Amino acid sequence: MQAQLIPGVLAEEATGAFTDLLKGRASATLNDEYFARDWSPLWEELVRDGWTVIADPPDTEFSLLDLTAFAQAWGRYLVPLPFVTTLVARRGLAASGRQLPEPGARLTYAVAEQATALAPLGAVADQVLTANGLVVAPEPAGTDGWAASSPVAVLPEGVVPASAAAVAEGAILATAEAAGAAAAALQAAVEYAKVREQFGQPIGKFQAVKHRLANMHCSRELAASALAWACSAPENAGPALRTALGQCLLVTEQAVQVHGGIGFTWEAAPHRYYRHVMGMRRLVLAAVGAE
Amino acid sequence: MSVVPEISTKAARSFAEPSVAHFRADLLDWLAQVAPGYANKTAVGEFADIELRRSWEDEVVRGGWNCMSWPEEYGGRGLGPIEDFVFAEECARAGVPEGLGRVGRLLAAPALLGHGTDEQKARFLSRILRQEDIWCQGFSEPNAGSDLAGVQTSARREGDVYLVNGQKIWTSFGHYADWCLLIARTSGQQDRHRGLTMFAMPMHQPGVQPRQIRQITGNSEFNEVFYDDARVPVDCRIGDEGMGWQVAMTILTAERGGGYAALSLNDLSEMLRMLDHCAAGRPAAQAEAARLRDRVEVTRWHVMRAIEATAGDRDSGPLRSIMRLVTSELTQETVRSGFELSCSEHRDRWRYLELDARSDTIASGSAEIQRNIISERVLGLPR
Repeated sequence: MQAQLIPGVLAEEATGAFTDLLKGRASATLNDEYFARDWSPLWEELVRDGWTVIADPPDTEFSLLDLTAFAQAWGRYLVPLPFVTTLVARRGLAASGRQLPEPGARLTYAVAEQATALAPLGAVADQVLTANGLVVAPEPAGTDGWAASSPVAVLPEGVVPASAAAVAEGAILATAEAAGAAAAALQAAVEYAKVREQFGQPIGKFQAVKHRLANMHCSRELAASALAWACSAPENAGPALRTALGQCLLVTEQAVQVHGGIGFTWEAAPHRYYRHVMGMRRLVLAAVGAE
Repeated sequence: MSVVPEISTKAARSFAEPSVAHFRADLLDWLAQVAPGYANKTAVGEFADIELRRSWEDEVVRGGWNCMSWPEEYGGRGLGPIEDFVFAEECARAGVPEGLGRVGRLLAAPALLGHGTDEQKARFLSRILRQEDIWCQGFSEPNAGSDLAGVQTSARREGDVYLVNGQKIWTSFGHYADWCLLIARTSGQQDRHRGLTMFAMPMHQPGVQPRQIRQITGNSEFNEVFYDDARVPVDCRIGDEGMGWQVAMTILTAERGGGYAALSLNDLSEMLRMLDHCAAGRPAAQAEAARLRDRVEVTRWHVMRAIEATAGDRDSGPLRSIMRLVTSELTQETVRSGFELSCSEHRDRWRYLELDARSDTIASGSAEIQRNIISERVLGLPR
């Protein structure tokens, strides 16, 4: 039977409520202060309202495709909390018949990359899902990019990767986070093009700029569509995820271009989305192979 | 001898519904019976095998598969865009030709269903459904291409008829058509959008002169059509006088929607098969073919996602807006790859497609217009 292609009505409503929560707590300029902030209050709210257990089998009302909608909503805000990774690790634990930890546990999972292992949001998680169940998160040996907004930590040698099924789901949801980051990068670029004036008019009036933004919209939508393809065959999602990440990369690159000179600076937001996509891409390629 | 299958009359709202699988199974049973007589016989060029295409269309009508998504009161089955897509997909896989009724089915019907009178629906829809009429589309003019609101062809009312004068261009099916969806000016140029009116123009009359245009492929698939005091009865006006722009938007939305996207995907599937054949034993070409296959597959999922959103009454505008642009540019890229392979077996076919694909980013709104629409209407950028 053919899988669903758009999230169900229930998931759509829940994603809307989830987005409203994030808008209220995480709408701020993406600067160093944002990433250095104490995010514990938001985590506690997510735990209290039950968001960390929404994907727990066997009672979850949501399909994997539904979960990509949550992960996309989450990905827009680049919050340095291991929310999506917690969903993945809990599902992985349940699938292997293990006891689930309390809902407040900050979890992630290990993915093999050559001799070592990667963990998304590994720098801010307490426990890591491995093939042997949860282990206390080791101090990362490195991070992919700048630490605070970096979504991926390199773990010390010796950490055993999580099961193939958990890694496969993790790769799909990490790609969904990247698609969310791409959506936010597009939105930021559109808003900038409406207010930035040159030659006496908003740059968004020039076709050279608006057509670039139209291309970005195409890429962003194709990335989201690739998630539907990926969810139709999660264990064999490599081509879908690589294609999606290629489209996300295009969007975030072009968001820098639309911002012009300011886009090349640390203070402007585009590089944060760009880095997030790069980090997710490294993780996903480790999970599904580079080709 | 084919059986008329029993089809559910409830439109699926998601591809995941069991009724879609049943529908597909019934369709495949029917195709297995009838398709072998028609499969893979289409020659190079859109109108090269006109009789085969007509008889295939008759087969579709006999099988009860035509216009399934229309309301039952007009002879449809009340099915929806998901079933339409599955039908297009499986027909392509079976290798059967495309009929001549596309403009009537995909463009005239939505215009009539959305804006026509009950009398017009009763009169035209059943003939479209039974493939008794061929329709063409009279929108573009030599001086009104991308700027459609600039049409100059005039319709002047005299009693119970309008007299139409002017010239239309790029009219596919123009030399076969019985009727034309014609947009004309019923009041002055200063009232650009509100001065337009849509008509169902009868094509078989002395005042209508189609002339075939030879295209860069060497074929003559479309026409310029001259209207010289051509008569169209008032009861063939679709919508009120001055409402032509709104009717045109309904038609253009359909033209850039799921039905046409399904046809593009079918063409792309055929090209990928040829590409694989031509790339055999050439690793770099195989890698390129694999990359294109992934892009086509993503596009296919995108089209299905947009169709599912439409079928489920979700907001599908942003999804639909990119289909025409994405499929047309991907088609050109795929054709270019095939052409560059210089495969001895398919060299002529790729050369034809390389020339023919130029129209993909011009017809139904150029790529530039599509990008304007996306950036202004979806992203909200200033005009």
